[in-house]
Amino acid sequence: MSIMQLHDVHQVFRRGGKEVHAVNGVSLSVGKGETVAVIGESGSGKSTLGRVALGLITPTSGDVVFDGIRLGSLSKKDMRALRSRIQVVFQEPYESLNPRIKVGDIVAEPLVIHRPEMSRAQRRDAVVAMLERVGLTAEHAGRLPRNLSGGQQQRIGIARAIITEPELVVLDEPTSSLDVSVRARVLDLLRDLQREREISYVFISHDLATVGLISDRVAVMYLGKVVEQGPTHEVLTHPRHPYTKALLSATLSTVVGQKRQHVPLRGEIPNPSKAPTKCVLSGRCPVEIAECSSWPVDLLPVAERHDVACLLADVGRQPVELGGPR
Amino acid sequence: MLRVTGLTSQFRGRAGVVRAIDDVTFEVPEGESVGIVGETGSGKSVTIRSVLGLLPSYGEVVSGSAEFEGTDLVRLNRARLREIRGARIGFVAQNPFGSLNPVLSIEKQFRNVVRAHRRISRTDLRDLAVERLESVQVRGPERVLRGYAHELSGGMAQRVVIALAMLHDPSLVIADEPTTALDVTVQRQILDLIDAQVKQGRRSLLLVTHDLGVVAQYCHRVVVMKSGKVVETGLVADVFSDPSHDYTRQLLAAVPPAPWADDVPSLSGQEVHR
Repeated sequence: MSIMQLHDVHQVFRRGGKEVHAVNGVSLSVGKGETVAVIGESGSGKSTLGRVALGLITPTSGDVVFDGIRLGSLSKKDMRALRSRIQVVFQEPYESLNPRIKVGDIVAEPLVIHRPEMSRAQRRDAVVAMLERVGLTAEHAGRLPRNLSGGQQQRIGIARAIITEPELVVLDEPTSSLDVSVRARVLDLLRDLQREREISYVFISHDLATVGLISDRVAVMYLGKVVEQGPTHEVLTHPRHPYTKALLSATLSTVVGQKRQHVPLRGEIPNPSKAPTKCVLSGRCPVEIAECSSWPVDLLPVAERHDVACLLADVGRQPVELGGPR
Repeated sequence: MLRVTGLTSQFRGRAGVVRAIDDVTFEVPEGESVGIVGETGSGKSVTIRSVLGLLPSYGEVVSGSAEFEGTDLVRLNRARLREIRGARIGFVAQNPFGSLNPVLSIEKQFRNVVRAHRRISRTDLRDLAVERLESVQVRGPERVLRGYAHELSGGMAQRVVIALAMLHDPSLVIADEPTTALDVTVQRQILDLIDAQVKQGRRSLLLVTHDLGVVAQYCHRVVVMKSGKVVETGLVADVFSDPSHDYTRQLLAAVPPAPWADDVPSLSGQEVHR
């Protein structure tokens, strides 16, 4: 059963007479207790999509449905009530914590807002229990964020997000600013919490290796569109879209001599200034044919629950094959 | 080529004196690529900034030496060091927009770098700049030269920085996290470019990174740092296949496996608490 569905979401920002199509017709559904990863580079629209899912911005068009409720149809008051059920963890743990407020109060704040019936003592107990659950201690409650390591700060961000027992948490690059060893432990924590509480995650990331560890399904975004989506293992081991292949080939193995064939994309990601009239990768794609620039290319199924927006996807894995030394 | 011996640097702050790196010793042999790898606070950036004389005003080298082509860089005065830094050592920093001057056209920046070391006519300079930009695959070099840094994408800006760093044909290239600020698909392009520039010019490379994959694929040797100290050095092939230090082992184990690998082993690793 799905907890959140996005239907044909478009998000257009207007700035100084210019339009930016940040999200361009994205549909996505997140099941209960499931982790859906949204991956892409900067400018792909993945963070905007996250903000739409959080109800922080109302999309230009399209629907966001959470547990059967259309987000756009809610009054301010109902929306506020709903926020305790959809929470967020940001990329920069320190930036997202108020530097002047003690850790205990930061974690307690969502309870003050969403559970006003709780007494001070109940709240304190809940905060201590939560700190202990994320691997910290009651002693940390009296500290300021700057007196914690990056990994500990992110644990605070996670504690704050899940203390209201949300059903969905949007994780926006939650481990990108952490060192590798710390990253592994934070991911372990997120997985344990999910297993215990059946939380659904939307995991926004540019790091395929991390996504491979934590997500059930993955949607690859480029220039505001999903270009490939499917079960994580399937997409990462049998990528069909040239962009997915390029992303995969950019991750370097730590095994010496195992340099993977590089799938080069020409140039860099352009500005999503207008709605596409051709394949979004046209102009950068290594296997482009004439038809690619003739019309927009939509997602089509290529296998069980595996969709790809590429005219050449049916040719299978032929055009750009990964693997083998270069 | 570069021999760093017992290098120790410290920072002065309100809390007193903090030792940032302690007794750092390693070598960059001629024609080889050496990666310094470590997590935040390991001292990898402080090490190269000590070597290059680029420590902030509250930092200083306390002891040790950094011998480059027979000269101890640590003992040089600022002017001499700057001369070597521009001519014999090319430096590529993490953020290209921090390296480029935002208010000078790219052409003026080429002119400044060239004229710091030799006289050149305007037309010769233009030809040289165009040729060098072409060698780092900048499209439309004439247009780029007329423009300013902010008009460039991150990848293009880093290419310009690399072209400037190679201008005087340095024998050693030092790069500090040169791709960390760039998008994933651009990172490989830039690493391949640095690799090609180093190999073509038979230069040596000292590459600072937190990415063990980068070291595995682009370096001959590795220096593993932790808390200001070198914990392990050696050939990448040896160290990565059979690390002798626990910390190196932990670092390698913490890297998620390549996602296209079929079996995903469980995670391990120690969190560094402050």
